[in-house]
Amino acid sequence: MKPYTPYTLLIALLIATLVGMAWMQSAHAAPMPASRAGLAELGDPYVPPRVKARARAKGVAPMTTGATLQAQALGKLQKKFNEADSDHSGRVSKAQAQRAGFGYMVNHFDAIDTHHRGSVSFDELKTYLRASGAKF
Amino acid sequence: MPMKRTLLRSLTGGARLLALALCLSPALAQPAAPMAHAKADQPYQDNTVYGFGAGDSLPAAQVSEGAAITHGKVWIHGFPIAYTATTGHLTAANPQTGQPEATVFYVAYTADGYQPEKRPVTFFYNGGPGSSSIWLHLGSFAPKRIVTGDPATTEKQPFPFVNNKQSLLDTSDLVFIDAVGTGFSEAISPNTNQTFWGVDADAGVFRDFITRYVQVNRRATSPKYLFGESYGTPRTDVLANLLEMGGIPLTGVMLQSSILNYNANGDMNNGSFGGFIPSYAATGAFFKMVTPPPATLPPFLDHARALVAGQFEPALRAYQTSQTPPPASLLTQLYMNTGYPAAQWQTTFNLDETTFRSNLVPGYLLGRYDARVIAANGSPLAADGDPSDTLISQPFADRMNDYLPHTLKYTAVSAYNVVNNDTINDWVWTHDGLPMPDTIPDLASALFLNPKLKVLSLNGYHDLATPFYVTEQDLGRLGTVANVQITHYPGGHMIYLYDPSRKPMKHDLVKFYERTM
Repeated sequence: MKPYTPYTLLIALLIATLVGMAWMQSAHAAPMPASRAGLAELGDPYVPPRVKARARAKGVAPMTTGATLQAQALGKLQKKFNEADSDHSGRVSKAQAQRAGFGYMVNHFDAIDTHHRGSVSFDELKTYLRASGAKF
Repeated sequence: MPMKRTLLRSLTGGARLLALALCLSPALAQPAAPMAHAKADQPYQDNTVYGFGAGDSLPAAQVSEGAAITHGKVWIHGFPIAYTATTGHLTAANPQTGQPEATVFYVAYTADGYQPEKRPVTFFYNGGPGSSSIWLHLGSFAPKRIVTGDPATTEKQPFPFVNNKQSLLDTSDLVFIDAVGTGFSEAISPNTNQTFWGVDADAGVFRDFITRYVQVNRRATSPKYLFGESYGTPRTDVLANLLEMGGIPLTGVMLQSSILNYNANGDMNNGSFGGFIPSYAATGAFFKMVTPPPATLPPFLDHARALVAGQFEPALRAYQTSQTPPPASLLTQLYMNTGYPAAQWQTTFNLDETTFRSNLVPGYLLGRYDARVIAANGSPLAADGDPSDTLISQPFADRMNDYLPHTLKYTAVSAYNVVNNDTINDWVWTHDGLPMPDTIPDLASALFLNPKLKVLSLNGYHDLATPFYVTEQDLGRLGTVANVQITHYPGGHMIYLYDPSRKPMKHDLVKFYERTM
């Protein structure tokens, strides 16, 4: 707990008063401060020009479909799998999945681990996903 | 519940007891009998001073999960639904380290008498990034809503705040979440607000809030839905995948007014604004500037889509690569389908929405969020560049500042932060190695983990911020999957502001909840 000295309390009170005053002004006098006016001017969805410039410099990002898009999606799962595979064995145990926050793997572990080895490979995960109806 | 009581009176003793027993049986997952006495409200005074700057954060010791509890009734189809509103904070914590990340402000509406374990729960949030959930919260499907009169600009202010006949509370519990740096949500040190101002970190802290909400409220087995608007839609894609990977499966996601791939934006997507043209056509039709006037929008807009894909895009490529002037016949067609003069199509062939909005109706500026909202140049409504936004911004903020302390009984020393303009400028946009996010792979990954996940894309014909045709193409990348349903309504970015579209929207949403994969 941050210790409250009378001094910090005074400052807090001052801030609260100022915020209150600013709010009263916005509600009654100034036209649009507490609003999305800023975003409307910028355009929403808005991206700052420097970010767009960086994106343009990198060239047009492809609108992936089909096998390429599937590979991207599987890449996300592979990344999570690798994160859980803390000893780089190519296999993940239930405890490793748990530690990595890979709850899906934890919840379905026994069904994925059809060979009862206590650990699963990424291919075994993919086999399980396909058997569950995933279309890849 | 008047109908139930009438029914009970008409039954004889034994049958009446049986009916009562059935009524009370929790296995039916029906609301229990009405409470004999109203439960007492529990007001909450929040004395924390919240900071919304990039570098702000609260010490963990100063954070609490306190909340105000109030009770209300919403009338839907003539029947009252008693509900409990919970307004306060929950602490989002890192799932691996357990370290607190942020104190997240939320308002939850839960219908009384249902088993929470079985009842659907839907998490709502707006976009920006940097917007609170005020627009969905006070405008869409909560028990009360603001009536703006959109697209008219003549509704007297303050706008009426009324019982919401189209509230979704008859179908699902509703939780409105404010992103870090908005509402009363703030990072917990050593994190700062900035820590969560990025595509991945933001989705992560939403996951961790939802995880906490589910844990505290026994919702592990409840069917869970996400409802995001605008930037809330790429957030939904990333968040859905994080939740599925984290072992919290979703039943459905609703994407309203989407921007799923920032690289498909008009000025990025090979520099083509073709994706906006069907929305220009809908706008031209609204202002009766289209020749011949279409009887209904759907077939007319199919024609507009075909015109873009078949003629506009090839002509634009030719124009951009070899300065080939667009054929006169195409300019005429564009004029007939939008009302925007052929001569001006010639000068600005790749027509951006700002130029379109400024010139379609001479002397007037059209709205960006809702192109049907129109204001004379130089008038106060036109002053901020989007009449449809200016129309609602201050009224929504004013209403929230009254509603929180007086109805939800949550009193704070800080002011509710409707929009944080620092957020969008400090945002980390990179995602999966791209400078700007493409979240279709995230949605695809979520569908791999959960092939039963339902996806509903809701679109406003007159939204010039996130045009529907671009969204259709983005979702089309998934190929033909039965999971994805796309709907359209007259209206803008915030479709629910247009009263005539509320009924069909609610109808489609209820059907979506009922749908099983």
